[in-house]
Amino acid sequence: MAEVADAPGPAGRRPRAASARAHDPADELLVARIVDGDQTALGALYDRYGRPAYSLARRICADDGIAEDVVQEVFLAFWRDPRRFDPERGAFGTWLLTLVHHKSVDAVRRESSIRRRTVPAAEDGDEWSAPPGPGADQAALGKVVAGQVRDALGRLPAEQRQALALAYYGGYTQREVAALTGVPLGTVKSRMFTGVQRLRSVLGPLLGEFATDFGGAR
Amino acid sequence: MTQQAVGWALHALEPDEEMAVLLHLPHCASCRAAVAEAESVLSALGGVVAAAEPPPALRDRLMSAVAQTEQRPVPAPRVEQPEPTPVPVPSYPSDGRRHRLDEEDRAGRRPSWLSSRGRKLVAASLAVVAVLSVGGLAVRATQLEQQRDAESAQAEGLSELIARLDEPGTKHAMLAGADNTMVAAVLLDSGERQVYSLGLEANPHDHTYVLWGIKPDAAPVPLGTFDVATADQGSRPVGAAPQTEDFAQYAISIEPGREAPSSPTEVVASGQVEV
Repeated sequence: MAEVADAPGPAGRRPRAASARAHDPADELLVARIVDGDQTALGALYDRYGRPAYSLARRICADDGIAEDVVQEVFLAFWRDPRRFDPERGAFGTWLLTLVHHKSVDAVRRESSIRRRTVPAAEDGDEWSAPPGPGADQAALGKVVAGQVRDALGRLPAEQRQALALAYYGGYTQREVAALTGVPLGTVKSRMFTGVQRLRSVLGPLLGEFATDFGGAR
Repeated sequence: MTQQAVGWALHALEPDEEMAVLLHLPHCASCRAAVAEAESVLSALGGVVAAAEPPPALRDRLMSAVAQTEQRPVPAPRVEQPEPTPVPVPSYPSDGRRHRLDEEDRAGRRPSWLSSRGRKLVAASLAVVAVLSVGGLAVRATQLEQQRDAESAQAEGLSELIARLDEPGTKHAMLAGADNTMVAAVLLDSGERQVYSLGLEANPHDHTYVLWGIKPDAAPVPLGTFDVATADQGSRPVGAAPQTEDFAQYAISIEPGREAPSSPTEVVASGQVEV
């Protein structure tokens, strides 16, 4: 990720976050062992990341069985070819959750019945502004970090939060979000872009810590 | 395009848009940075969903599957090559429309960062785009659903072909046109050389396409002729490929007449070979 971290961007980029993203010695050790064919290392990696991976898949798929299939598919694909993950590009946790997200969205798109069940939850977009319920992410994330992510989400303008929720949690394409919300496609694209930018500007210093906190707290 | 990069990170683009971003990213550091940053932000969102404990049986199933799954063999270390070896520009006629091969060092090589996520996506997107015809890249997901059955036979063949991109030992080259749009691919496998048209225009009957192999410090070698009919997006074998074929680049030219000349007249696409 060196080339990306070094890439020019808006003022005030956080080199600290970038360097934190690139390094998690425990993960790197496990990944190296997996490259060497060590099955127990994959088990250890699953013990670190299985819970956040399953939680995200379950949220998107809204179906325990499909979420399990997604998680197994992701970890098995990583086992089959661990070089798919390039440490230079960022933290393992970020890479893994991105993969879980994409696979979950693909699964949702294959299962229209699941999609229908997902709509209401994704549409309200209020889940982020609500205080976390008991047993929520606290175990997997530092309380402070998780709280700040929630705060940042809660402070997004509602239309940006809704657009991001429909896409990220609902698995809808931008075109579908435009149809669902009755706004032009260009507006939807702009809302998602701006929403992500805002979150990044607020969360930037935390993102590196966050990425390594998935596993570290377990 | 940066806005599209965020949509790409969200996995929320339509297939045609996704393909366009995929082809754009290797050439644009700022969009790659935008994707990386968006993925970092979005994975943070992914981490604050209500936590759910995976059932213990899932771990058992996973480890059982792992025990039965062989890892992909480590690719043989690449022979250290003076890369990128500047390929001399063949002496094409001074035609302003030709695509300069010496631009390929900048644009033709797919960077390694794409290999993890991009290869799968390339495979999927290419299959979709190619099957549904690239005449217009405006392929919509709904159309895909409707056409999937009718096209499934062709799609399977195409998917298989594209899947071979990931097989060890399969060489390939993605050939881009003058505007950096990928218009064709060349695949080499087991002595078979396939040219795979993604966006080549139909050639007039009194013209032919010619595939060229290019090595550093050597004149381009004509490898065979082929035609592209209207809406013809499939693959075709072109010439015979010895197992030892080791061109650094391939190029496609359009030529008057039906025979390959000794040197290309108008290069319409070119790209470097990757293993």
